[in-house]
Amino acid sequence: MTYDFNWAVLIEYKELLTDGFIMTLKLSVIGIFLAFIMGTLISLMRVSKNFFISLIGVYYTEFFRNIPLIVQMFFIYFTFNLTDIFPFLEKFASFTGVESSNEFFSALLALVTYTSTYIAEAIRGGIHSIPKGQEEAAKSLGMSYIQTHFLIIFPQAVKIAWGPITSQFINLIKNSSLAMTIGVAELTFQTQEIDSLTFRGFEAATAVTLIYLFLTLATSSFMGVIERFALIKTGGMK
Amino acid sequence: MNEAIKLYFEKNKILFFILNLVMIIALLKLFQMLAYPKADFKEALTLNNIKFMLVGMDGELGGLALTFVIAIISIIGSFIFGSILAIARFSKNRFINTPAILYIELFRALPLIMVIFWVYFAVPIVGGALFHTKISASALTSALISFTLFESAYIAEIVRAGLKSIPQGQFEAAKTLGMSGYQTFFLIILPQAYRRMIPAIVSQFVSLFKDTSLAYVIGVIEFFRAATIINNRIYQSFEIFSFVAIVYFICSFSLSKIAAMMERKVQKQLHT
Repeated sequence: MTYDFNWAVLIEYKELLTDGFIMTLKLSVIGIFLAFIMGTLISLMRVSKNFFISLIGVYYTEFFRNIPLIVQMFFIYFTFNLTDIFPFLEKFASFTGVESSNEFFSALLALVTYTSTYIAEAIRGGIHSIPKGQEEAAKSLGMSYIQTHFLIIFPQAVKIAWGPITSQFINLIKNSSLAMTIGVAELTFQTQEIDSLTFRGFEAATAVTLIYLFLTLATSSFMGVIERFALIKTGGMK
Repeated sequence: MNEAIKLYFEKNKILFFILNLVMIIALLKLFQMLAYPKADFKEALTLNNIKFMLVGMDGELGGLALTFVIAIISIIGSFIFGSILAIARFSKNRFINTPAILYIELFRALPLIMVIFWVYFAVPIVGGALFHTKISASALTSALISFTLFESAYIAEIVRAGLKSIPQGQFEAAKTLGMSGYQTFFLIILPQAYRRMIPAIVSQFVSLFKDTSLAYVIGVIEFFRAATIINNRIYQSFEIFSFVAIVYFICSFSLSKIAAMMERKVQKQLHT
């Protein structure tokens, strides 16, 4: 019993693959953007001097980090109709060209909450590794608390935490494949689609594996380029 | 006042842990009252449903118990396989370390769901091509295989970091005592490295425990799948999935606290 490969299937169904690729890209890019902002906010809450604000940060991270992503997705998707609750999402969906907007935003929200906790932890680690003298020096220069944080501490912390943040971005790209379980037509979903249409799951899975490899390698090298040209040069700190 | 509260909780960690759990459940209840007032937990979470979700049907392992079984078997398997990979990667022979590097990098770049599909759909094809027989794996077996393959790439990186953290002097000291290469490695280096890695492996176990919910896609009736089965029947998703979320949260939160405790212990041992 041998399996005869038929790679022509990939060319025949290349629209499905490109659609899936674009959908994965949309999920990842918007997700990375929002997760980074959210993670930043949570990390700032966690290092806050006020015990109760930092406690809210701790609860957020511990809660969303310890629940599997797929459970969060199902919870949001089956319980709430996000586009009904937030009508502006419909406009945003038509702007980005997403058809199944409810599924898309459920998956996106779950991805953002899940990944932002890890990003918050990474940035918090960075903030803790900044020596105390930096804060005191900023204070003696007459900077306010917000100035100190956003101009002095935070940029350095992000520089230090850049490696873990990169790996969380890659994790987000990989985790976006879970969106197939609630019916977002991204890459892994299209593998199943090609498999059910032509019974050629092997070829489709190979192609999609290569695309994921490409995506993760591209992300890590892109982040490396940012680190080299934007972060280290301006900061003068290595 | 803030300082006093902080100090009190740092002294009584277990109390703080329980208080946190209670607080989070109370916050969830508040969220439910605001966002979903019509929730009816009594109807959704009957004794039978909870039993199905926690231990599965009669005479058959399923639910949360199966989740734990999958997680424990795969962490043991991936610990063994990951150690082999890490030792292969540590070797200076290029023919041994290149395949290990390729394996680790490939599996770390793939989403787990793709690995599961690969094992579930490709193993029969590859097996048929190689051995000319029909090989088919059940859903549970292929889930176990794919979790083991996937996690061992991560465990290998942990083991490698542990091996790297052993100072060079240990190798030299073993050599001066007249030990061979194998003796040095298996009697001196590896035991020390393992002791340093325990916290990292426990936190990897937590992440594996969460990832077992992905066995859902190939139809293993573990905790999450059992919950979706009940949800498909009675369609009270809020109640059921919040129950699932709380159970997952309690399990992995406690496990990660244990990991943190072990880490502090290991750090203390290393510094004294």
